[in-house]
Parts: sequence; C-alpha cells; structure tokens
Amino acid sequence: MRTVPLIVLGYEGPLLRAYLGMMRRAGLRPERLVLMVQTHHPVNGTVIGRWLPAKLRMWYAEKAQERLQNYWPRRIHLLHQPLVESMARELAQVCDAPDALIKEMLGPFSYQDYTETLERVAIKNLRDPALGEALSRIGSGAVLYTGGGILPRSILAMDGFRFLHVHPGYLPNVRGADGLLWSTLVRGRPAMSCFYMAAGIDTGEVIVAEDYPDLSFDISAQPRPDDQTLYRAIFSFYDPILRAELWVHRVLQSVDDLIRLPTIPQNIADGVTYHFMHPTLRQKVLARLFRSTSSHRQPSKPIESDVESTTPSYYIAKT
Amino acid sequence: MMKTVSRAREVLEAVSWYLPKPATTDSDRIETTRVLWDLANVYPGRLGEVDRKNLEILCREMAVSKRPLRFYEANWSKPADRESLPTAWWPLLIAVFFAHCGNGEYRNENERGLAFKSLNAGLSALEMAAQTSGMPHLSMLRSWSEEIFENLCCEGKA
Repeated sequence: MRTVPLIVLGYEGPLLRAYLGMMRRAGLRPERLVLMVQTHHPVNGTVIGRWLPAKLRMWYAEKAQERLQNYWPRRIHLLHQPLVESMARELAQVCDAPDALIKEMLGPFSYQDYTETLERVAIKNLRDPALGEALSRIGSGAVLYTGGGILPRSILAMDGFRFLHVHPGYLPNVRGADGLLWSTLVRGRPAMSCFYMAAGIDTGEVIVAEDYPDLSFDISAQPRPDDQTLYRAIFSFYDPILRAELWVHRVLQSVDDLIRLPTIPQNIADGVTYHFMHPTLRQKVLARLFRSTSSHRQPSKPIESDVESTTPSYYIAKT
Repeated sequence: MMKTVSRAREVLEAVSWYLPKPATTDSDRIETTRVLWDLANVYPGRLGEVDRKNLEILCREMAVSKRPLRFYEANWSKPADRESLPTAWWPLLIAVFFAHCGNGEYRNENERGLAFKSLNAGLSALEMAAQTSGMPHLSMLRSWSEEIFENLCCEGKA
C-alpha cells in the first residue's frame, strides 16, 4: 500500500467511502484523513447527544452521523436490491467490480484502515473555527475536499494548502448543483472534473475534465421505485463512484505532486451555473437514466411503504 | 420556429400590456421590473451579455431565495429594505423565463444549457406563483410551460 501525500477532508457518507475504497483498491492511501464530525443536528440545529459527557458526545455524534449519512444507501440496498444490482452492472463500464465497492461502502467502515493518520474534528458547520485550527495544526498540504457545502474563503486562503475537489460535471460547461443530472440532460452524458477550489462555485483552475459513457440502468417497471428513491440512488452510488473513479484513475495514479498540477484556468463567462433541478425536469432525466423493463425480476424485499421511515430526507445536501 | 415566436409574443403581450412601463433612472439601484421589461423586449432576439447575466441572476434568485425582490443595490446585492417583486409582475417574470427557453434550436451547448436553466427557473416561479391567491394568467402560463417542456425535452438528447 503506497501512502500518498494527501489530506482527505470530508464527512462520513457514501462519497468519502467511495473515494477511500477506490483508493485502497488502487493500492493507495492518504497520509491523513480529517473526518469532520457534526456536533449539531443538520436540520434542527440542536447539539447531538447534549445530555452526554463531552467525551462520549463525540463518540455518539460520530455514530449518529454514520447512521444518518448512510441511511439512504443502506435502505435502497435493502429494499431495492435489483436497482442497486443494475447500477453496479452498468458502472462496470467505468470501473472494476463496482458491486464489491458498493458492498464495501455499505458495510461497517473502519476509517483507520484507509489512512496512515486519522483525525476527527468536531465542528458545528464549515464556518466553525475548529476546522481552520485543525488544518493549522497539520501545517500544509494538498487537501481533497469530499464534502458538500461551500468551504469558507478563510479556509481556502490558508497558506500552504491547496484544496482539490471533484465536481460531477464537465468544467467549465456545467457548474453548480445537480451536476450529474444537468450533464445528462444538456450534454447527453455524465462528466466529472477535478479542480483546485477557488472562492466561486466550481470556478477554480481545472486539472482534468472527462466525459463518461452515457449509462442507463434497467429497472423493474412493476413496481418502479419512485423518483425520490431514484434520485437518492444516484447520490448513493452513481455520483460517488464516478467521482472516485476520476480522482483515483485520472488524477491520483498519474501524479506525485498534488500541490502543483498543471491546470487550465476557467473563463467565468464560459459555461452555465445550474441550480437544483425542478422535479418536472428531474423526472425527465430519471426516466432516461432508469429505464423500466417488464422482464426485470421483482424486488426480493417489501416495497418502501411497508417499512417505517425514521430518518428524513435531508442527507442529500450536495455540491 | 415562427409558431414558437408568435406564441411567446402573444403570452408576453398578454401578461404585460397592463403593467406600467418602468421609468429609466440614473440610480445605481437595479429595478427588477425594468430588467424584466428589457428582457421581454429583447425577445425574440438573442440575448446580449448584460441581458444574459441578468436572466441568470433572476434564475439564481428563484433558486436561492424563491422570492425575487423589487429592487437590488448595484451588482445585485440585496438592499436593507427588502421589498418583494409585486404580484402583478410575476406573470411577466414567468413569461420571460419561458420565452428565453428558445425554440429548441441552439448554436451551442451553452445556449441549450441556458434554455434549460431558464425553463427550470420558470417552472419554479410557476410553482411559487400558484401558491399566491389571485395570481393572474396562471392557466395560460401553465399550458405554455407544457408546450415548452415538450419542445425542449423531446428534441435532441434528452
């Protein structure tokens, strides 16, 4: 296993797991992983485990985050196994053994096994000074930011660091939210780009941008999972695996110095910055991505309405 | 093409004939009604740089705040006294978004992307408008949105 001079910064969830899983398959591991643990509930803002002693609170918050951020991938896998299998089959066009990677992403995940040094930082949100302090203690380095949300300018401007990110769209053509869906709708295929982060949304200098095959997933027509489930499936499996594929096989494997990679500046006037897609348009894209087939075998588990839902749908707060 | 343009003109006329023409001022303040008026008048011509930027900012306002303001400070920063765009102007706002979706024929990918972005904002605005009681022209705009959706989404790759 080769240790790469890289700091991975992210929250628990399918994205971080896909990056680390894909890196390990390539025989790589980051020098350091900074796992951000949210101290406050992302929706109601209350302190997580506030009745616990401080030491236990961090442990509890991490456990709560693990359950919350992996809730939908696991639930979709449990209730819509043929859907996940279909996605894995198609994703084999872009990476090796995606089914095994998905299994790895869904299971118990010991972050310590994927990095030389694991550091946990408890933060309220990305503007929490604790994040800057944690990075200051590290000193310098190339940082792969795997999370959603916008890193504050004060973090991006820290001396000695360069922040890299993978965006699910071809830069500069497709910037902003729901990149994978907009790429499919406007360009007819998915694309991924790796870039050095700058203050604007997806405006930094581009390291690599690549189109991917126009994938579509055959799924059962009876019963076809609802659009919300399909949307979540994209961000549980499709989006993370494509991002990780680009990162590992188009960036990480071919370079040594992640701080000074050759780049192409973006002209901000080029391309379009998109926002979250309206459900009417989203339905169109989902119908294209997930093709209903009558011959597909039925799901082996009860359909969604038979299972009590305990977690709201807020985890997909993406880039 | 001609059918699309005449339909758009018909709707733009129907939603704007009764609105007072916004006055031109020397103030740095940006008047959303003026911007909408200009965007309606530029149709069916191609958008210049300023108009395109303004259209994109209105799309962003729909996506982020859901309620465009009547005025903005220079560079579209939000003023201290935030006044929502009056209800009477919402049909024109929606019609402007839909008009600039074009007719499905685009010179390049960015034009096509901007058309979809505009459609996206128009659909969001229509949804917001439907929640406001007494909003005029809703059924006409809804029916037009369906025509545009079919036009854009049934041609080409999508």
